Amino acid sequence: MPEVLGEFEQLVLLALMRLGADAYGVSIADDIAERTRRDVSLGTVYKTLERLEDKGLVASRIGDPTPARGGRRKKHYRVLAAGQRALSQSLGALRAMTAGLESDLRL
Amino acid sequence: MHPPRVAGLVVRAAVPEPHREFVLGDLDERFEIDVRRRGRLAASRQYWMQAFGMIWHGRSLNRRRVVSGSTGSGGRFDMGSFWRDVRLGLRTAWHSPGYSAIAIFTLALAIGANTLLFSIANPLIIRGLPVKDPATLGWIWEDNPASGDIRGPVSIPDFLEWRAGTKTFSALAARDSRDATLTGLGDAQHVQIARATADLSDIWGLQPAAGRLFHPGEDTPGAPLVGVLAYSFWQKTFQGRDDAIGRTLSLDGTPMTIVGVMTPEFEVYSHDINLWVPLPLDATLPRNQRTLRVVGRLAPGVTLAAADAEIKALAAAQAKQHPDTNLNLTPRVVSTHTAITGPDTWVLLGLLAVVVVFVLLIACANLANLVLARVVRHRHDFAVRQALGASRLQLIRPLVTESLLLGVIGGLAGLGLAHAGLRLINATAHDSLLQTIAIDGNVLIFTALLSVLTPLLFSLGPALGAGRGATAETLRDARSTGGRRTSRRRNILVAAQVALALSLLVLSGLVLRTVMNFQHADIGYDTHHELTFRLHPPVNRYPDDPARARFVQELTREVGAIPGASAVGVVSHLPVFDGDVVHTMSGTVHDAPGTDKQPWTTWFAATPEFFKAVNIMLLAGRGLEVSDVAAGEPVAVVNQMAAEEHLGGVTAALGKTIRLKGRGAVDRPVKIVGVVSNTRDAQVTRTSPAVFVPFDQWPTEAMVVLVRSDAPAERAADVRAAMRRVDANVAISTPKTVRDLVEENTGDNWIINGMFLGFALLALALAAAGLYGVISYSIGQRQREFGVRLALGAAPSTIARMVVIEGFKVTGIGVLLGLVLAIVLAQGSASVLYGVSPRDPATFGGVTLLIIVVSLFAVWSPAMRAMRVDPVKTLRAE
Repeated sequence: MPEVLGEFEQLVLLALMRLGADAYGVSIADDIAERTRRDVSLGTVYKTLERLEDKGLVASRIGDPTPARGGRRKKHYRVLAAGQRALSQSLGALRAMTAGLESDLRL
Repeated sequence: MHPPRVAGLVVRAAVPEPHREFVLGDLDERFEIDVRRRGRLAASRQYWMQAFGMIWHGRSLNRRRVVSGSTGSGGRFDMGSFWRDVRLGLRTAWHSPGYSAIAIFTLALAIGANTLLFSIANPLIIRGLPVKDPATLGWIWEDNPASGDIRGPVSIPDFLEWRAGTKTFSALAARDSRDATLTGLGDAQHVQIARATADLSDIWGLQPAAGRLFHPGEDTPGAPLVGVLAYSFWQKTFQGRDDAIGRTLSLDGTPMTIVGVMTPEFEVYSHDINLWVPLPLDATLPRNQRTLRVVGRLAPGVTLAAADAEIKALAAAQAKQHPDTNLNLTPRVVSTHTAITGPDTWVLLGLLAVVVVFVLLIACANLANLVLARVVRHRHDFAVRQALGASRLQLIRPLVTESLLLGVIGGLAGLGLAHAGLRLINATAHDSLLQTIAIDGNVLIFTALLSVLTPLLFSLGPALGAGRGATAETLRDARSTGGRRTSRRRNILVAAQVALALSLLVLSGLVLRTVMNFQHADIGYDTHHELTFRLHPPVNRYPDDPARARFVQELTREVGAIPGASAVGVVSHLPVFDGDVVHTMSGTVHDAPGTDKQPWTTWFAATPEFFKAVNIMLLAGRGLEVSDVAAGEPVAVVNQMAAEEHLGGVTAALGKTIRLKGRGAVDRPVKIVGVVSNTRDAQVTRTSPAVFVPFDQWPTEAMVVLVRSDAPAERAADVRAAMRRVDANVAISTPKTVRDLVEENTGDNWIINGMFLGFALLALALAAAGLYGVISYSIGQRQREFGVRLALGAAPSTIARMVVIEGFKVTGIGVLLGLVLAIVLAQGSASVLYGVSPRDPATFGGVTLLIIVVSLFAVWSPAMRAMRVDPVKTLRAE
């Protein structure tokens, strides 16, 4: 059975793909906040990343410490092939459902 | 710049180790960005929100760890019994929804009230001013015991001498504020400026939000003028653009370069300031021109008392050298805490603290009674368990845990209530501090502590009682009610509640009267029919007295021509609302050869129509007239008080000549030509002597215009248009009605008063509920007794009377105690009361009556129930 993605999971995955190697907590939250114009709490982002990692859709690696963050390391994320698949299925389903409704939805 | 430390701890607690580092790092980074983009306050708030988010979301991070770690060490500390207690507590709470609801509701109200007050006190007491190291700052006020002025400002020459002579201060800075006209940005703008010595920003540790603050030397007279924009003014006027820096504008006709923007954190404490400029330290200015607020950094190891003594000594020397201006001036060095609060703030806050603590105590008493009742009901149960070997701790733990759970839920609900209350206060307040208070980390800690301590307070006593005295007797008698001792304990609790509620109501009654008296105080002139605005014609356009006098004549004519304007008065400053300007008088009845005692008077320069514009009555002689021109004979009109106290009476004053000494090194004789009715002085609660001189003869740089009209608020647009016709380069402040000014000055009293009254009524409701609960409970326990009495022939009304009397005994004791407590509290608050005696019989009587009526209601329905006891049924149940 294909993986069903929640809306926020989709947003996080899309942000990961956009950001590429630079994807970590703050940059993900910022990217989503900027594009969707809504408040994004870091806690929600972490929780979602954790869940996606559990589902085997994303992978993480620990970065090097940087002085800007009080010497604390970053945790970087990237999308796995399974994640891309799940995302395109979800978006495909969405596109199929919106087909023909573009004018009503003002898309 | 550090993120809020406590919030960091919250995150540490919420997020487990493998995640903690990344999360904290991300939050720090986020915080840095927010500080740059939105300022420190917003960034801190954001950090807190994120931290709380972690409490919620951190759990999902937690869970994984527990799962993965559970194979190893089997749990370092045993949380099992704790969770068991929590579950048991939740279950019991769930099974007695009535009790739980009442407990949570009561706790929410009491904790909410405390949280609300703490939020208000928080910026004053804990957070303090956003200045560097406030503990080693000394603030200097000048009191004048002879005129009764306190917390007065200082003159520039006096300040410069202190600065040169001090050894206790390592640096001494000063500032003042005034109106000015800003041009170079479209229409001329009326701005409020603060002038500060160049070292003030160093002493306060202020940071620019952009650009720079003042450099040393920029406060020497004649230095090129630079300006620092207030943050909100920068946002409003330049939309926060960086290119504002470096622009050259014109302030009162002097070219001024914008060099920076002030930190927004400071805004709360200087909200009406639009612009900061250096204060030119001109030592030749007169000593009686006192405008400076002085603050200094204490030298290492120096105490406030030592600094105070030194400045007092310097001032004593000045008084000897300049007796004409400095006699009686007594400087006072005070701490930052004293400096940022009003003279009565502590009394008010103290009173409110008493109120909310009382509310909390009443709530605790109520809940303690409920717990006690439950303990008694389960007495048999406890005895059995104890007989089976349960330890006392095991007996009371579920009880206390349940109370703690209720406390936490009640605390959260209380936080919500306090938040709603703060929103309401933010929206309605005029004061910038009240407009911006919010729940922050300190408040959350306070509320959390209350939520835990309150339940301990109300549950431990009764619970300990439960653990005690399990006797064979209790085991045998399943129906035991706990006997006389517990019922006396309950009655004492209720009497205490009544006493607290009564004293709170008396207190809030007195405060209510005070606020009403202020609101409707007769300040001596009409407040309903004037529109008023202030202005400060730029010196470059109106350089001298004749030019200003001409400007005022032009203004009077043009504004006077507005349809509906019946009089236009111009005055140097507005009586009551603006600070007083004080002059000394010689040539009064007190003059005796050889004495240098000179009476003082408040001083106003006014145009002829001023008295008519504000409806001040002429009592004798004539008013000021158009013919009192600069070249004419110097004349003055005095108020009734000046005439009676210093000039031999209303009619005797006419024709006398006195010398006025005061502002601008003036020392001029004036002939008294008229006497007018009194107005209040700037302290509102009292009247002072006053002298009114013709504006043409004493033109001031800043002035206030009053336009009399039947519908003053509707004249604003006309007034603006008329002023543009007079001179579009002179900016005016927003026209307001005098009524608006009254509202701004007294409006916030309603907030304080609303809290007093709200809390007191809350206390009353809680006490009534307590009384009702206790009487109901005792009636429930005494069914059998009533049944027997009725069976033996007692009339139902006798039973009802018994119950009512029992209730009133408790109330009576409470009322007596409460009256004593109220007298003590009212006496302590006498300094904030106005127009009402601290022993006002109407308030005391009314409140006592209210308490009696309310307690009658509280015992009424239990008494009715007692009357309807069916003797047959109760006796059969035996």
